[in-house]
Parts: sequence; C-alpha cells; structure tokens
Amino acid sequence: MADRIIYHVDVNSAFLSWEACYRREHLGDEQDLRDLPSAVAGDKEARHGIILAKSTPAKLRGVKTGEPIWQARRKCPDLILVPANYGLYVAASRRFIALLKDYAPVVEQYSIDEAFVDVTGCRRLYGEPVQAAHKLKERIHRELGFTVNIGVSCNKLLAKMAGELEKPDKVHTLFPQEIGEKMWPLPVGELFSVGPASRARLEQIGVTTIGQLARMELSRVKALLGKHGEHIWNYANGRGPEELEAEAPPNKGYGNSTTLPADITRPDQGRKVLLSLCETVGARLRADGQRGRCVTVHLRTADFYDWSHQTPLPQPSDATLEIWQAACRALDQMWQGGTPLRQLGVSVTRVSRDAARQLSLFGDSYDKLARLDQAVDGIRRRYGEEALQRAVFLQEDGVEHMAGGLSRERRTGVTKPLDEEEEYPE
Amino acid sequence: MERNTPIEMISFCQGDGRLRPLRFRLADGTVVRVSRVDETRLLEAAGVTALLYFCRAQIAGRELRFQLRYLVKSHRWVLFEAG
Ligand SMILES: [Mg+2]
Repeated sequence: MADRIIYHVDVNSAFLSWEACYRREHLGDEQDLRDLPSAVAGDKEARHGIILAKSTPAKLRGVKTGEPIWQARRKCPDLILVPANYGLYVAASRRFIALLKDYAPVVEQYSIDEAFVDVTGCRRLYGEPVQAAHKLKERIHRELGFTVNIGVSCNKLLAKMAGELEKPDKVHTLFPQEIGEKMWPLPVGELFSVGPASRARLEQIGVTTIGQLARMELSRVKALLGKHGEHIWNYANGRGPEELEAEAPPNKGYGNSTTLPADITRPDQGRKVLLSLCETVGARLRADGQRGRCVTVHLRTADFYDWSHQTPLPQPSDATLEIWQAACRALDQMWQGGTPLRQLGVSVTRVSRDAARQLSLFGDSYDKLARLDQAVDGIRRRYGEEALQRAVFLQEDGVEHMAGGLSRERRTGVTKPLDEEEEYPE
Repeated sequence: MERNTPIEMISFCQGDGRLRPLRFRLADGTVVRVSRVDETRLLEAAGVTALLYFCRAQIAGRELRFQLRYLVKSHRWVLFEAG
C-alpha cells in the first residue's frame, strides 16, 4: 500500500475571515476587515468581552485571541470590533467541510474550522500531494472566499503541526525526515496537546524545545508527566494516529429532550417520559443505520438546575428497549423522585455505523428487538407516527408517545447533532 | 442608490430549476421590468449562497445596468447595486 498522505486544513483566523468575507461579498462593504486592525469579539457591550479572532494587522499590533477587549484596545486604540455571529460561522463551516468531502472520500472534522483529509488514494486524481494541496487551497479561496493553511504529512499529528507553521495562506510539509529541521527547534509549548501545566514542568527541568523532549528517555518523561508524558514524547518524535475518525466524531450523537406540560415527581413518571424520548431517539438511530455505546440522561428541575448522567450500553445498540433500560439505570442513579422535574432529555453517543455486537452466551434478545423495531418503524413510516403506540401511553397524563416526534427529514436520515444553530443572517 | 435594498419580485421558475427575474418593485413604488439578463453567477462566499443576476432595464428611455441577487436560504431578492 502507498504511504499515507494526510492533509490538515485549517481556516486562517476563521471567525474574522468569515465575517470579513461575508461583509464584503454579501453586504458589499468596500473595506475588507482582513486588511485592517480588526477583531471578532464576544459580546462587545459586556465589560468582560474577549477577543475571539483577530486580523493579521491586529495580530501585528499585539492583539491576542482570548484577551479582554480593554487590554486589546490599549495596544491598538483604532481596533475595529465586530460582534460574533455564530449562525454565519456554522454555515461557513458546513460549506467548508462539504467542499472537503467533495474533494476526498475520508474527512475528519476536527473543529469548526479544521479538518483532516486522507488523500492517500488521490494521487492519480490530483497529482503530487504538495501541488494538489496548493490547488485545493486556491479552490477554497475561489469558491468560498477565505484562505486556509494546509499541512501535509503521513499522519494526523505531523499534518497538524505542519498546518501550524507560518500563516496565513500557506502549504507546508512535515514528513518524518523533516522533523529535526522544522519541528524540533520549536518551543515545547507549541507541540500538540502540551498545555501550560506540562510546559511549565518540562521547562523546570530545562526542556524548552520539542527536540529536547524528543531526545529524553521515555521513562523520565513518564516519571514527570505520567501517561500523558508518553503521548507527547511520541508526538515529539513524530508518531501519532494515522486513521481518520470520519464516521463518529465523539461529540456527535442522537438526542432529544422534552419540556413537560406539568412537573413530575415520581420515578415511574420519569421512566415513562424517558420511554417516549427513547422511541424517537431509537427511530432516528435506526433511520441512519447507527448504533451507540453510551446513553446520557439530562434533567432540569423546576427551578432550572441542570444535571446529567451517563451510562454505557453493554453492547452497541439501536434498540428502543435497550436504550430505554440504560436510560432508566442512569435516571435511577441521579434521581429517585421527589425534586420536581420540568425537562428530561436522552442522548445516545459514541455512535458508529455497523458497530458489531458480540454473541452473548446467555442468549441475546437483540434480534427479536431489532425485528420488532423494524416492524414498528415500517408501520409508522407508512401510516404515520400515531398509527402505533405503546399501551402505557394511552393513559391521559399529557406524556406523548413519541416525544419531539419525527420530522420527515429525521426519518429519512438527515439527523442533526445536538445543539446546532440553524440560522444565519442576510 | 443604496446597496443591497430589498425588493419585491415577480420571477420565472423554469422546469429545470433555473430562476429568472422578470419585474420588481422598489420600496418607493417604482416598478422596473428586467429587459435582459447578461450573466448569472453562483456566490457561495463564507458558506452563504446567493444567485447573482447582472441585468439591464429601460428606465425613462435610458438603459440601466444593475445587479440583482436571490438569497437562497431566506428566499429574498435584493437590488445589490445599480450602476
Ligand atoms: Mg483556524
């Protein structure tokens, strides 16, 4: 098999670029925020607003991401501040990821403005990896109006480290034979996953560059930083994961919640609400052909106190009944009735397609459950959600039999991750 | 003329999905008939989709050129710029 080639594609000053691009191309602004000392700020009016992204001219004046607005203003009095517009950023991010997915078959979104792209098999299609990266960078700029950095290497770690080299609008390689020259001279704090605490401890023993860390004895790094020490020692030596996690980003899941018509105080009521939530969550998992490994129950009390509890599923599942049983276990561990609840939610995470189930020695009811769910899904698809419901929901207590319901898109597989914004401004 | 003014539009949707502006009304009541579309373009800058129409119209015996935009997500038309 050919050597793996991974790109790390990272939008330069993402929020600021997207804002600038939107204002120029869609609102017709003459000036481009990217050419001026400017920044996107979280909540300009609040005293504690901070800088979320800054332009290159602002960066040259010393403005830093994460610092309070007043501090940035002191360094750069003519700083132009614009409020954050998350709806726009979600739209821009989606289109960016969609373009990458159109470009190559395996894409792992790493954050709102970064993704890994496996282009191993694309040499025939796009040519030499570095030239092809330049073309991809130009295509993103031409079609979507913003610049990116692309790091090129044989694993994700090195590709990401390459992407962090000089910005903006650049392609860098960082292959294993180049790490001595390009990565080892860098300050140790710039190594992926070395936070301020690890950096401080390394500096205390005189380790200030990535190269010094790479050349340390592993046992010494482990003594100093434990298991995490072993990870960063491997990273410093250019070793990191190759496989892309395109299918199941860890934060994605299938969830649903419901605010009750009246607060509930008894466990049996809680279990019933969970069942109605599991009906919809299970149906959505099945529609997408996904199985999950973890069930989380979220509760909100009548006085708006929120908490949640997770429980693993013994086997990856999409069966309504199994999800419900796990949800009930989670509920039992966090609430035994009493405190009035106004909202409950269930989500299934760690999902993947075709997650295999192990054969159980003690007999597995899953096959039966799967056939039952399939029949139920089929009837509801054909005759509507109301066509079939569990008898427990016939009782008139205001609990719907499928909380939240299944919109048509959801049933046909377009399921949205939790907490996503939909709107963007014109 | 101000940039990016919302307008009321009568447009034609062709069977193949193409959309063509025919006649529009400005906020002050002026009605303009589009006499010609010279060029159309798709804009996806910052992930926001708009269809751009570079058009002409006869107004008071004079030919004017201008750009109309259809904002796909919000289903609105704007007069983006008039030259
Ligand atoms: Mg970025």
